[in-house]
Amino acid sequence: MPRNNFILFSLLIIFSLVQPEAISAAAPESGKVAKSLEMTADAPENNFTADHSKFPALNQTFETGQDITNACLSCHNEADDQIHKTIHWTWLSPYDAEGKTGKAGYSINNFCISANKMEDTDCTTCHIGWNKKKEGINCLLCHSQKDIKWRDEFKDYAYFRESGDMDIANEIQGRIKEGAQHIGLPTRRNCGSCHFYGGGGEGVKHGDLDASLLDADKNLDIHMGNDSQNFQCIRCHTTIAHKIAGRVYSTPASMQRKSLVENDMVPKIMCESCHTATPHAKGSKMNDHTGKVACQTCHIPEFARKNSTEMWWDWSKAGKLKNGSPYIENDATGRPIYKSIKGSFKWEKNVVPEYYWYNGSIKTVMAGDKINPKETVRISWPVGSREDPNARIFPFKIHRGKQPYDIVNNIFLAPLLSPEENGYWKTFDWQDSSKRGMEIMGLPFSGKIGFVDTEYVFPTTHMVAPAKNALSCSECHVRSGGRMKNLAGFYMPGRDSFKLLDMLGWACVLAACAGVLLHGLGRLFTNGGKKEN
Amino acid sequence: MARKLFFIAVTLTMVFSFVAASFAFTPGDERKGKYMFRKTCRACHIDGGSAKALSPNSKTQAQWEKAFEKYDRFQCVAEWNKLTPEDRNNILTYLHGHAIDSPAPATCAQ
Repeated sequence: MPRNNFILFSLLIIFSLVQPEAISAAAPESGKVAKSLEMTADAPENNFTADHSKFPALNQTFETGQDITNACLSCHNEADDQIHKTIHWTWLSPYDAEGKTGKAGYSINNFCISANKMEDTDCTTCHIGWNKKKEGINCLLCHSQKDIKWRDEFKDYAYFRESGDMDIANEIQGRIKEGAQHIGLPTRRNCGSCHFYGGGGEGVKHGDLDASLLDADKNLDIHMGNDSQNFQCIRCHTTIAHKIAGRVYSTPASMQRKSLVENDMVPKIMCESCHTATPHAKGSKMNDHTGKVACQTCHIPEFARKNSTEMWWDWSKAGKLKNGSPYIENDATGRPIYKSIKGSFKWEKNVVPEYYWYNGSIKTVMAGDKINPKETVRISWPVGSREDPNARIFPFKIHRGKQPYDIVNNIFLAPLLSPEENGYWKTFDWQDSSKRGMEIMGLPFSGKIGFVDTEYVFPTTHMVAPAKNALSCSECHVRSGGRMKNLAGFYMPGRDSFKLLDMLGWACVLAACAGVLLHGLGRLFTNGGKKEN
Repeated sequence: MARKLFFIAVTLTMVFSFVAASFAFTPGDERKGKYMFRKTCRACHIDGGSAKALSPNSKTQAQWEKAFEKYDRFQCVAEWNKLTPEDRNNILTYLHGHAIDSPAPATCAQ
């Protein structure tokens, strides 16, 4: 019997030497997500059971965007009802019964300020309808696997067809058809076509979401890196009936902090969902942090690590002209630092986040809310405290700036901006653009305009770095200058001290040393207690 | 008489030079130019793209003219050469008409 065991053991050793990958695949290291997930993350079209290019409904000439929508709905006949209930269509938070929260409501920010209830045309460029909410849904924005500027293509198609330039019209129609026939689940490019460009340009709004993620490596994002898991957005932002999980503004991103092991039907948006609440090696001190420190805090040491992100926007500087014309000044990297239409900007790269307690909710000041212009107005801020069991210390990008407000009514102004509406970007007239903007919002305007300092927060949750680049203990647990220096109200080892307790402790240490010394000396002088012969 | 001729010659020269300065090229089809710019140049020259983002209002009229005169020094000269002289002229017409110092400056969103 021992001999048989020896043979089995020898065979196992030989097998593991020859086939090390087979062994490791069968038993993945704890804490690491199995590599096989990558297979489904690529989401290539040919994974599906339907080839859309073979559907007769998609083999026709599409004169308008609505024609494509109709073709989609001829099979997916519930899709429009589903979409019409989502925030992607309504631009209103489903959690606000009053219907005020959202870009189509009274929400404002310190970028382009307000979408004026979707009346400011340029702001609606990102809406998923062909023409705001007035026409059908552009299914292709999210589902076409071809990178096509749909509105431009249809506008140009109509023009060249009307003017009889059929060569160009047919060329455009060919591209439209190709885009309509190559359908799949949304990729990073689909989601990114809006979410990487929010605020009027690439990298303006989010510090952790920009075009660099289209071609990320694992150092930029361990989940989305092409040389790593190559996740698409929908891998974490799970979707049921077109409702996409993971929005983090007025509502918690996840109602439950559960792992998929506990319940595989919860939205997989939290890190814990895949990595569990004790993701580090057994017995590791790091596991003791997860109840109070978000994974993102240590694992996203800096954001905007490839492209810079906008950190400051000063509207009070807008309106300067050169020789009577508006102008743009760029920095050495090509980012704008001044635009006559928008004011001045500051950009930063490799930005160290600011840290706050955060339970997944963000509170906001909306258009019409009273503000105190004597101090910096926080347009949005994270909710949470050390006492809140759902709150963790979380990293944020804080976008700061100056924006117009009504100095009599003490409310933010929501000026109309788009040239299409003869807004500020065309007229450079704060009075007129504010008056008409506030009229649309149904808010008062005294005619007296001032500029106030503001802050706007973005939770940082993408651009997760490889484990080797996570924060070391000394980034936070240091006496001064640590990352948690602004978080007060609790004792943090290494950072905080209690002088009396420290003195008492050191006194005990000194007393113990003195005791040892005295005892030792006593033994020495008494010759170890032995009597001389 | 000679003085009169001289005066006419000077005037004509000045008029021609002014006209030449304001129209260093013969305007083409702006709409086609807009389309070709979007199709060819903006394939790379977009925010977050492989080249610096470009819109008509990225440059002044004079800067656009200069760029189109000396495009052979650009890295993407091969792309320029794929375009016909007519296409290039149409694109310049569009960019010139909506440059930052034009009466109607435009970004590509417009």
